[in-house]
Amino acid sequence: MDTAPQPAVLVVEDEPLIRMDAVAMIEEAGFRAYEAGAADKAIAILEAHVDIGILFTDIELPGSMDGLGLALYVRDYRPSVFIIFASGAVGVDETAFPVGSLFFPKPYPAQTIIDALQKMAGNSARQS
Amino acid sequence: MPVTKVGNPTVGDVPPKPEHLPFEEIFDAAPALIAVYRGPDHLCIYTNPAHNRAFGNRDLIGRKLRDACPAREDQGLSERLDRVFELGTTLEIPEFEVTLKVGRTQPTRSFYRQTLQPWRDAGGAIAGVMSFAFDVTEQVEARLRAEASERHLSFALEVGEGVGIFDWDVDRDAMKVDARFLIAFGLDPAKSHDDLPLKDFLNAIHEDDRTRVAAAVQRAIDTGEDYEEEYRVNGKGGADRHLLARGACLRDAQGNPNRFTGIVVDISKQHRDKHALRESETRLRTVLTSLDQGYCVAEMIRDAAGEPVDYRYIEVNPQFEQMTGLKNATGRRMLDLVPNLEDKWAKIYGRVAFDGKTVRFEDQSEAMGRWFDVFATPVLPYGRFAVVFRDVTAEKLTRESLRKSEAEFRTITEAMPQIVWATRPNGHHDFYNARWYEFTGVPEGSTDGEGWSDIFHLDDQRGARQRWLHSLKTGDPYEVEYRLRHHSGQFRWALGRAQAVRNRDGEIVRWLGTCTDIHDLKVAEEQRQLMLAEMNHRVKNTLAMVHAMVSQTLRQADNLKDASASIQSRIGMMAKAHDQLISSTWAETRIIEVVETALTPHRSGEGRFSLAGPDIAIGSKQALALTMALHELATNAVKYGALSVAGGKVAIIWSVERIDGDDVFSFSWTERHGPPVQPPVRRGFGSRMVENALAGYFDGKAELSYDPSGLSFNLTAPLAGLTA
Repeated sequence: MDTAPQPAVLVVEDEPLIRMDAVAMIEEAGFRAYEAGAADKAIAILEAHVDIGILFTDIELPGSMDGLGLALYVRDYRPSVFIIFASGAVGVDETAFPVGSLFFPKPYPAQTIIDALQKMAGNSARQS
Repeated sequence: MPVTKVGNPTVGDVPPKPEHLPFEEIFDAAPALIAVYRGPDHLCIYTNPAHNRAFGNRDLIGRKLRDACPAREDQGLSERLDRVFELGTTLEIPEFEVTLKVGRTQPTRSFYRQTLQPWRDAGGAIAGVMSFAFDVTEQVEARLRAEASERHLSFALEVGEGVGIFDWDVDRDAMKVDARFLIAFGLDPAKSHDDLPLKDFLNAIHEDDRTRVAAAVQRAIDTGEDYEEEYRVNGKGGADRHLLARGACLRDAQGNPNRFTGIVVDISKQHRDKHALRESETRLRTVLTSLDQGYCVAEMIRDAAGEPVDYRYIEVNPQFEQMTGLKNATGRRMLDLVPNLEDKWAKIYGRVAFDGKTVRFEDQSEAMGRWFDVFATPVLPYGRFAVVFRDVTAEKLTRESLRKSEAEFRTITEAMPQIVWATRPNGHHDFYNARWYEFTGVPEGSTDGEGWSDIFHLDDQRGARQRWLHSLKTGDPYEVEYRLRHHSGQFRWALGRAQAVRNRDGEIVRWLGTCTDIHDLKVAEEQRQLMLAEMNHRVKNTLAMVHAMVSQTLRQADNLKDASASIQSRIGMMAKAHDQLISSTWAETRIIEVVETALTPHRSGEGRFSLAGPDIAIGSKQALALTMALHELATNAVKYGALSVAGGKVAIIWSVERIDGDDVFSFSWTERHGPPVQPPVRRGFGSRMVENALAGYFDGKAELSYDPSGLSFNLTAPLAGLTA
């Protein structure tokens, strides 16, 4: 058993029901979940909570910054944060994603996500 | 020869024997005519033998010149002697004429050159004058002859075809001819040609004509008919002369031909002119015959009042018949050929013929059933005119039908609601109908040529032009969508299409095109695309929501049967909510309807629900979320809450209040008279839905409170969140 705490996950998704489901899935997997409906709110939460170690974000977000922009910001602000993209958008250019990030098309099987989270958490534990 | 000498003259005396003069012997032998005079009276003291011979041995010695020669005869010799004696200068007379009549013989004419020279005495004073004269008759006469001959020649040249006369003595075969005859025949008029036989003159005639002329002469002799022949005479130095001879043979008392007289005229010039004229006439005729237009010369005919009423054809060319359909028109009057011909023709040709006007016009003769393109000009003699013309009936019909079809084209294109345009085969735009100008507001004609693409949106110009050039090159139909600038400045989507118009040979003669406004269509299409994308998004979202709902339900279900029932009812609710949304155009609906719809499956008709709140609008997302939340709450109430027992009630209240300057929406669900409430063991889909998701849709806050007296739920959100 790891002594280091599990990283918390920041869920960014503008559709409340889907966000709700993601949070439920992540919490049932044993992770603490924060949630935001847009990039600016997400950044505020990120700055307020240092335990966030994983960003789980949709690509299409309302407002001036989309999920990709948010990810690049986070990679710059707190490089240790792992990034997972989930999106229903078609024709996504994965070459634009930051190195080491993951992408899942919606709808995503819950187990896949959870496995990815746990893998990242394991890495994170090794890092710290 | 004895030399006569002169001594002092004595009246009545026989002249004394002259003294011996020293120069005597020399002068005696000289060929020149020498005479010596002494004193102012010019007493002749010596003449040499030559002088004597020339002057017929007249005795001059011892006599004064004036006495010996009468003034009439001396030809000014005395005056000359006077002058020489006085001035003492030598005088030269280059030429003087002497005519001497000696005896019965013809007077002879001679010419002399004379030198008069003074001689001096021993003291040096002028004693007298010597005369030396040289016979130059031969030279002078030759010169005179030459001059005469020149005069003849120039005269002949001047007069040209002067009339020469011949007179032929038939019996003797002796021709008498005059100078002009000789000139005409190219013979020297200065030489004698008297009494030559006819043959000599015939031989001067060109060999090709000789036989004919001889035969004609013979015929005249035999028949007594007049003789007239044209023939050529061999010319010296090239050109032959053309002569016209006319004559007749006269008979004597016995009826025998004895004299053939006549004239000869040099008609070379006329012949040349006639030949040239014939040549030019031939040329003209060739042109007129091969002309592809009708040609005629006609003479105007006037009525008694002097008005032009008719005309007679003098000559026509072969095409005339073709162009008019009138056969054998030459010599006939127009009104004979076409009795009902319109007056206008005679009137206009009358102006040409009598007023000297040259006209060019196109007109129709209904009587002849043709259209003519006419050029008419006056010609000599006065009253005649020439016409060059073409039957243009076919062309006219074509032009007419073309004009009519163009008029039709215009009528149609101007009435069409679409923009219509046309270009030449090279793509040069030369026609736009009224719609184009109404739409674009550009000045008429300003987009002719290549200017059309300036009216296009900048981004569309290149693509359209490329496509157009391709069509021009290949003949493929042209079809392009582009934005066209309306006169208001707005760009509107248009569909430009064009087709090539071809002639019988398959060549493109025109492009006909239209611009159809597809802006509304295009905008609708764009909106449709947007809507489809939106719907796609929504469907995907709905599926995600269903997915979330299903996965959670399954995670928390105790058994599959419960899970299945749960899933089915939830999906049913979502479907109902969607129905409701579609019926209200998917954008907005009234909150009361949403609540009613959500509660319908849970009503038992016992009035356990109470609803209260203002009639306000709610957006589609929010309506869906509220529906699902109410469904969860109702389902929970039926299973575990107030609706699970008789007498339990649910109060649903919503309101809008102004709090701190903001409009705040509140929604509450309160259960009463149900069984004691216990918080759930774990958070299921329902609670998450109600507490988390719902608030998210309204951008507000929601709270479930498990009050012992009954579960209650409360949502507060900014009013704007209802329709955001």
